[in-house]
Amino acid sequence: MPASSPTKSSAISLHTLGVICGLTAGVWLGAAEAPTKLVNAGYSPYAISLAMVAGVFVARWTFPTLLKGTGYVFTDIGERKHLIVWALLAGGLWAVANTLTVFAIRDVGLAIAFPMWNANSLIGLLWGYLLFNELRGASSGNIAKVTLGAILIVIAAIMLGFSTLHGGGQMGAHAVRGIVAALGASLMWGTMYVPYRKAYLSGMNPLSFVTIFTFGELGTVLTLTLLLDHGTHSSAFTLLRTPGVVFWLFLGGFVWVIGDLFQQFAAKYLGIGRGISLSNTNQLWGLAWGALVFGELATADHTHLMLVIGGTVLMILGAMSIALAVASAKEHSSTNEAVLRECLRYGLDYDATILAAAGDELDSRDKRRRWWDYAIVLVATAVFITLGVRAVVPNLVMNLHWVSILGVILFVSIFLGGWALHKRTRFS
Amino acid sequence: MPQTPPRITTRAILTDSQFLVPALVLCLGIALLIALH
Repeated sequence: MPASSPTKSSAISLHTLGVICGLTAGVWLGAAEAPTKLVNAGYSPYAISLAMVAGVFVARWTFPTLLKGTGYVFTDIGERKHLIVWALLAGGLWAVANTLTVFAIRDVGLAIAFPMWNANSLIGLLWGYLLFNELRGASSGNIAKVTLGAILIVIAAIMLGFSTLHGGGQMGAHAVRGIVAALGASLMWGTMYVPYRKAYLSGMNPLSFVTIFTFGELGTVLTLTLLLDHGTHSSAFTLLRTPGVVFWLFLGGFVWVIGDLFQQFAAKYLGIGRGISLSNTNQLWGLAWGALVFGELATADHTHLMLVIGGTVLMILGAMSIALAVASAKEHSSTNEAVLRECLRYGLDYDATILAAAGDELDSRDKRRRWWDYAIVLVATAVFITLGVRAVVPNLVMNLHWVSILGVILFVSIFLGGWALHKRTRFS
Repeated sequence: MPQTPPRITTRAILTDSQFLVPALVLCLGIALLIALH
């Protein structure tokens, strides 16, 4: 991949763009977990997961459709057909992980479970090194930053695990099951980035990848629901017919898909070792929503709070240490070798792939939006509006003052992230 | 004369370690989900 210095009139380097995308992803992915609090309202984890994934699927066809029309997306997919199976696989991994997180949230709470599955950055680092040559040829300083960050994240995960076991109250009752579920989700979500990275080393556009990905996750969650949650008698189908409740999960899916798009761009421009770490700042935002909006830590004792706060701070420091390890030219050369492997194995044009992987496209691919693109956006948006007008505010204690503040942060971040992506790559 | 793109074989995908790793982890995750169920 070309070095991260800008090749256009823009002053934004690919590294800076990746960092902006990673941080924006963190803000949105953190907010997306809040609606799963509804699991306490009596629905099964599968029901919550299916409703949220249905929301993700519909949300993908709202405004993201206008960023690149369907003509562009399906041409892109057609040129790299072999990646379809990887995108479906990634969707399956996400779906299983998401269902595990609902178990985890139910057993140990959002504020605790969130940081534990965010140890997925370690898994991503491992796969990045072993499978994609990440950190090969990196300076000793960069290796030290990444190693230190990884160790800090492990320590933080252990602290947060102990805070659960010693927390007492309702969180202690099924703590082990919750921890196992959260760690399982961590493994799934760390491995999910393998298909992500493969797609972007092959020059695929994140919007194309996400399109197939949503089919994979919807199909997997639907299958899991039918197999493990009483088949067609699952509470999922009752939930999907309850628009007053399902809107909030659709909203969670909508917020998630925005976060994931930014996360995909971060993985594309930074690699998975660095990209996951940055988007894992969603732990901070998940904690903010859990503690400030839902009052999850209101009854925690001093020791419990210190472990949560200490673990959180260490995890963020670890993630930032990894993120600040800017790739050198030698490391970029290793990345180019990984691109070459893809090109030789799957018959891709090396020069075009290198350019596409850096957000530059030479081809005259059809970028027009057709009438059906607008029709798709209208239908998908209408689904959200129809559910929204019938939405009932959940019977949960929420601090609306903090909802407003965190909402403003969401909008500011998407504006900045969208502007940076548009300016540097036109969403390529 | 336009070049015909090379045919991507199932074998190429199934023998790709970058496919096997996520596929095996997905199986493990489903097993965990069944165990926790």
